[in-house]
Amino acid sequence: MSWKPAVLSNTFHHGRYGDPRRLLELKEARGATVSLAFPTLNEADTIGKEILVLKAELMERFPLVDEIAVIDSGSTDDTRTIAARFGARVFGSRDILKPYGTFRGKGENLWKSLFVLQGDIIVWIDADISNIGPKFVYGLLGPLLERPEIGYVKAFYERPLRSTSGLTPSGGGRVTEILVRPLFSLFYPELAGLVQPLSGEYAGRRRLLERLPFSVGYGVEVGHLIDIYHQHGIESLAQVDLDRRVHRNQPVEALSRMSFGILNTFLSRLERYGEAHLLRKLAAEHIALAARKGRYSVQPTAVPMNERPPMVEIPEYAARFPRPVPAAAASVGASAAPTPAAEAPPGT
Amino acid sequence: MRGRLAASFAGIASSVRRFLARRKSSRARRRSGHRIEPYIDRLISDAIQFNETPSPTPGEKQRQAFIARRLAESGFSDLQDDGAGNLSLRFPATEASSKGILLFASVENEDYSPLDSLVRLSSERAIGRGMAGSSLGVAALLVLAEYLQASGTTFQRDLTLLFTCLKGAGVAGCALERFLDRRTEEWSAAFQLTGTSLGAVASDPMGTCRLAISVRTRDREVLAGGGADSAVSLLSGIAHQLGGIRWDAADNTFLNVARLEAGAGYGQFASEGRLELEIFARDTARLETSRDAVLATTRKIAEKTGASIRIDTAGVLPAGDAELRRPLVEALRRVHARLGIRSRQVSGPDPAALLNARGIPALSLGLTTGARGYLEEHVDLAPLEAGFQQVLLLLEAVA
Repeated sequence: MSWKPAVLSNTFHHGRYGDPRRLLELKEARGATVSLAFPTLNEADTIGKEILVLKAELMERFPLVDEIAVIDSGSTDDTRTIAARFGARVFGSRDILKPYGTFRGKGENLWKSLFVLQGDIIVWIDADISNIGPKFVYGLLGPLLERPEIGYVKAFYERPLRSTSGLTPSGGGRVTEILVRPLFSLFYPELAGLVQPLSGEYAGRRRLLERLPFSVGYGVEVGHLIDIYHQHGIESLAQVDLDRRVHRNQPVEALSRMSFGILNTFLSRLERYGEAHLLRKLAAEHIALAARKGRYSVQPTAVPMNERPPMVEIPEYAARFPRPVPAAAASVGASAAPTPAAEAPPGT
Repeated sequence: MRGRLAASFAGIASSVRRFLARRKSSRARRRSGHRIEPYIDRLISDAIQFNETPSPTPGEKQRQAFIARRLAESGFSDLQDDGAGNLSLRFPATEASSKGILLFASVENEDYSPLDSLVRLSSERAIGRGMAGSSLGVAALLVLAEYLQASGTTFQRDLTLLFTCLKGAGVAGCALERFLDRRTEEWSAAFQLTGTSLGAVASDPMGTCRLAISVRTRDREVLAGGGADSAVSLLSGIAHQLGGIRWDAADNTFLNVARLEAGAGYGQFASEGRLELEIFARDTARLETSRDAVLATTRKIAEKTGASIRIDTAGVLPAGDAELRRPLVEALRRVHARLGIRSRQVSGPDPAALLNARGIPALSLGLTTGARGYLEEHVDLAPLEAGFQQVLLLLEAVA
């Protein structure tokens, strides 16, 4: 079989973008502005280093990034204090777009960040990376600055896990290999060409991101990929090898809840795009079992499964980022709200 | 009006006098208004990234690559690699001068660990194995190069920034010694930049000699009784005997058991073990005498038990030369007073003494406060600005 996913043609190594002066020239030539944001919840151990290193390198030495912000879900540790101490703008997720309420979840923070960030290009980085370096940002920015047809870039890497016995050389991506890759292989073989579709580091153009609905919880990455695939085609996706990412390990119980949220988003997308039809409503709670003294009990957990509409459909956003109304707006999901859309999205 | 004018002229005259006085005492030209604060974040950032770069690697190539890339990004194209473990960058003097100034930092971290050397940053501290050692010194040199370039600061003497290694000092010869052997220029002053010990002034540092003693006792059957000594008992006996010696009445010489590793299990055999000793002495002659005494005593004890023994000298730092260091010590104390840094006298060994032994005035400078330990190693962030300013002011004073 000679077929290979098209996204492999848009697969790069961060070293290709290791010359910051070249990227700076590209950024200036395109007249682009770049925002970097961290969604956080109790990340005091790692957030300070991430902000300091990226700010020193990519704002002060080479001004590739125009602003750094933290969107916090209500940390109870020193995350917010430390983030502010090292120069990030800190927002509480619940304080953004207050009339629309708040949900707990990473996707919620990402969606709300679109409202407070100013850049044309948005870079999102998880706040639990122990070995942060500038490549995490310039690797993601490179394809967007270099190739106008690319609208969304995902990171992939070798993922040694931090554990009590030190660093385990690999073993990350269990949910990807057991759940997401089989699903993509069945329904979207082109997306199976993504090495780590669930990686928490990605960047995109505002004009593409503002048209995407956002799952507030674990399904946000899968939802983005399927929506972008349908709206803009596989050619608008790229992936970048960042070599190595050290992060803390997640217990199997957490991965099970994560899979529940991802599967929910996946199934909702199948239905939305007419690729499968669900005959009954899905359950809202993840069910785990606990054993104590020979007895088993059920532990239901509500996993956030709400979905935010494309940000362009929020009037406050439209007022803040006014755009000319296009002849035909292309946005996923029905909406009665007017769509102050921008120029044609990339890849179309 | 006339009064105000008179006051203004008096103020200007006073400013001119102050300016001339400053120019007289300081031979450096630094553009005013160039702020230091932004460079401190860069310093911490570089120290973190450098600390997380593996070490040791063959020739410390990974760490050298970090240094070369950073300087190239900053626009320096004339970094010199002598092929002997040294990278150097020269800032030429504004006037012809016979002697230059050397600022150096050691790039290696013998305690590097892939996990423990990942740095964690709180609001006040950077925590990670290696941060209190060489990483801040290297980062300070990198940021100093950027600062000098951006501020347009020049000196009357040549200034050389050197990224070197100290491993093997005084024994097989370390990279720093090879650098000094190969270079023909003369140095009027040299400073090593290192992590902690801001405020420490070593006017007369002791010399030190590190010895590694490996023993292998006769094969033994533990349960048989009456067998040969184990390596544990032999090495602890040596440590006990050497530790009990009073080397001189004035405590100018003493010995420290740095490490004792022996015992069965975890890949060890009961018949093998290793003891590391550090001898400290106020002068180099005493250091050599004490070392000979330790070697003789150790061999004698081992012979009695029939154990085979190997003694390696892991490193030697000569005692410092107080006379050579005096002008630098005085300048450093003045700088500390000006910056509000509390000076304190210390007497521990100083790698800068390697230069003293060659007739070069040299000192080590700590850049901040902190702690170095097995359980946690950290550096404090707040004093770093004063630590960096200390380097600039010392350069103004001597260069």
